[in-house]
Amino acid sequence: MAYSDIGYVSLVVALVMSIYTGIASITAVRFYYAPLLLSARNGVWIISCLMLIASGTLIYGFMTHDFGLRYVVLHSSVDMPWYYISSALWGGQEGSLLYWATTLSVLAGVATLRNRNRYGQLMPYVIATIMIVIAFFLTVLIFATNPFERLPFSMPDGRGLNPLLRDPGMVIHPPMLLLGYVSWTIPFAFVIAALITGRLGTEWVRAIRRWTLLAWSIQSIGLLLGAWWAYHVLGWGGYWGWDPVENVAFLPWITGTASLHSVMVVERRGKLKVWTISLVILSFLLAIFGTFVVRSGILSSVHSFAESDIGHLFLTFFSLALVGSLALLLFRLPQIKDEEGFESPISRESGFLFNNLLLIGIGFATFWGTIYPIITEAFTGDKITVGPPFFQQVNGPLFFVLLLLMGVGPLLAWRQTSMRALVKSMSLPLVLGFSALIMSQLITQKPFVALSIGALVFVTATILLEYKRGLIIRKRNTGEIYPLALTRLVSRNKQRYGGYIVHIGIILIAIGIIGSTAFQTNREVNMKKGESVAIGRYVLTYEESFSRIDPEKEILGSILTINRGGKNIGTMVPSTEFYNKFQGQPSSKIAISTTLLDDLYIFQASRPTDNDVTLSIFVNPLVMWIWIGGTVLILGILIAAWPEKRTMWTSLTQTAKI
Amino acid sequence: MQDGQQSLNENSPVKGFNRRLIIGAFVIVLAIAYLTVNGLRDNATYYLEINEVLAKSSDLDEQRIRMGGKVLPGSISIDTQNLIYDFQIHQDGQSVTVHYQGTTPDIFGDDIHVIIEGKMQDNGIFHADILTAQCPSKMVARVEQTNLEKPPHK
Repeated sequence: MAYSDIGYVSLVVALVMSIYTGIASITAVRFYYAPLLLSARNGVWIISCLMLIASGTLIYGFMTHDFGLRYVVLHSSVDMPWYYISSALWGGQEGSLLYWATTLSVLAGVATLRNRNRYGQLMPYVIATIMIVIAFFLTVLIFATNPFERLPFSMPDGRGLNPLLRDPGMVIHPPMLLLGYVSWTIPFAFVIAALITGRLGTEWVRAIRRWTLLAWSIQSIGLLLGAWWAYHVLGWGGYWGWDPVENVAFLPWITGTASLHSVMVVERRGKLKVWTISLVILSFLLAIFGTFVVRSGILSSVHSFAESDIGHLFLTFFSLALVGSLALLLFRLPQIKDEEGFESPISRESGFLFNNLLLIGIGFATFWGTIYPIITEAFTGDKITVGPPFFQQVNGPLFFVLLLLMGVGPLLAWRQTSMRALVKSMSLPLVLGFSALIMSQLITQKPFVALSIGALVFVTATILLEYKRGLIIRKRNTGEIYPLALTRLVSRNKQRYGGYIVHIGIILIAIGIIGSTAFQTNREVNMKKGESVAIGRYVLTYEESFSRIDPEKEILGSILTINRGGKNIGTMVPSTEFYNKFQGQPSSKIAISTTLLDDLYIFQASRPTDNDVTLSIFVNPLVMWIWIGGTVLILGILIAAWPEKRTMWTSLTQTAKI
Repeated sequence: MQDGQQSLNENSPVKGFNRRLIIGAFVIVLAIAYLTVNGLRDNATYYLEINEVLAKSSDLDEQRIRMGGKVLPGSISIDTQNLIYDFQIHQDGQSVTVHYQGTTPDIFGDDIHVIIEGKMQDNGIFHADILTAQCPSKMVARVEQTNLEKPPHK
């Protein structure tokens, strides 16, 4: 018996445990039998431990270079630096599914621990729902893609990790994105529990808010890291290509954004329940869809779906989850239908409704554009591709309207806002926005850019005014000095003011996207030694080539001196790495020089010689603001989700009592 | 949206407002549908085999298409200074002349399978603006995987 059997056995035991735990927790609550509930809870924690043992076993296999394990052979090699071991862990199908199941079991453990004294009626069903999901992933792992499969003989060395994945970005981007997918299971489980028990009051709303925010934040970080990785590694000068894999990761984020907004309407007004529940269910289904798509290659062609050994399993699970949740929703529909409509079309709640419609529209268009080629091929046999222009053309205008709404929304009062009050509070931002629009039209001569800048100024102004309004009232009432008043204002209304900071982050990201899409310059040039090329405010001179031979790769680079606005700012060295084990796949190391104004981005398009080199040079304006905006967004999330002091205190004292 | 549908049937005081809300929502849904359908019509690029391209070349005028084939050995001529590549690709005994300006992937060369995107010109030359080489690593992986499954000895 090999040590790797420990991993396999853990999976099998975990599968048995998950079935037991699911049944036990439902039985316990049905028959009011408390000991069984405790046993189910312990079951959840035992499964977390078993899954951690299983993952640990695979990591051990990687660390000890056990090339008798098929997965280790396919995804690592002796000469691979240790810090890429973790990315090898989720570099393939088996490993990433193992990661999925492990993180889900840990999240389930945390949810069970945190809520051991809360949501008494809901938790057993939450646990059971999560157990079904875990059992599904374990079934796939045990019967279809076993990560602990041993070869009949040991290989001398492994294939190594694909060079594209050997990047720090790849160590953190996939696990973040996958974790984002995974965390949608928890709000989904709460919704299912609420539907089954019929406890559709306020409990589930409180529970899903936090977990939805968590899933959404992790996924935001995952998407941002993915964009950052693509920008630094892929070499086409951009960060988002509307590639199918990107699109499917984008979908649950979009529906999640919608549900984060509509849940506020449920909380404040008890309306839009059906809508919000559907969004949470949809986000979970899209997360499953995304996990499956990323690893199965179905989107490159329908035929690869048939080849994939997990395709039919995922399809079955997806259909069952879809039909099951839909049936539950229909069953409870009479109970959760809204009593009456909105009081006024100009109110906060209808603002959220329109925000939701636009987001769903973006999601729908993206989904349709992504699967359209598969559907066409399945029905007509024609092979087609839908390129980035489709997504830009459709989503561009929708995002623009959404942006405007982001400015108007916070000014709308709940229930009803009079048109006069709205115009009054919007007048200054409107004037600023329009002046910005006209000025940027005169300067750039690009109507779309001018419109966007106008909208951005308008939204920023409304947010700042919101802060100012809150601040002045607080100062008047408490007499605090401004910095203190600001801190207190934010910390007393974290959701609201944290949310505004998230909006500011989105605005900064939008600035980066608009700048780099509308004003990107690109030159592809062949440069002789000593020759200079000018692009934007930069002048590049090709000095010489260099080469270096490492144990596992050969590096060929070109040395360029850079002049910015008449000043020498040093050298940049784009290069290409040729891995011994991946001869057919040279990997480019892009040279990027970043400023707040623009990035100089140099991609080496040919092997440099002493005589010449071919370069693809980009000047990407304002890209830095995307990353700054991303940081602000995360900051906003942290503020919005920061635990209340009192609840932290109570949970601490509770723990002490136990 | 279910709010609106309900109140339409009733004589509630909020009826008028909700009708406006529904109309607004309806306009948005229509706009999204229009954008999607229209966008797909304009932006779906067909992938055609070389023989299909040759057969249909008269009705393909100005339509962007993608096609793939192997680079005919010895057919590549390069203008390095301007990054212009003229070459032929072939498949099933038929070939097309390609004119491409831009950078090429490092593995581009004789017998490499490439996928190109662009427009067929009246003179029968395909003007491509996107060129990607089919990455051979996927094939290699598959071969190695089969080897792993079927050990040579033992």
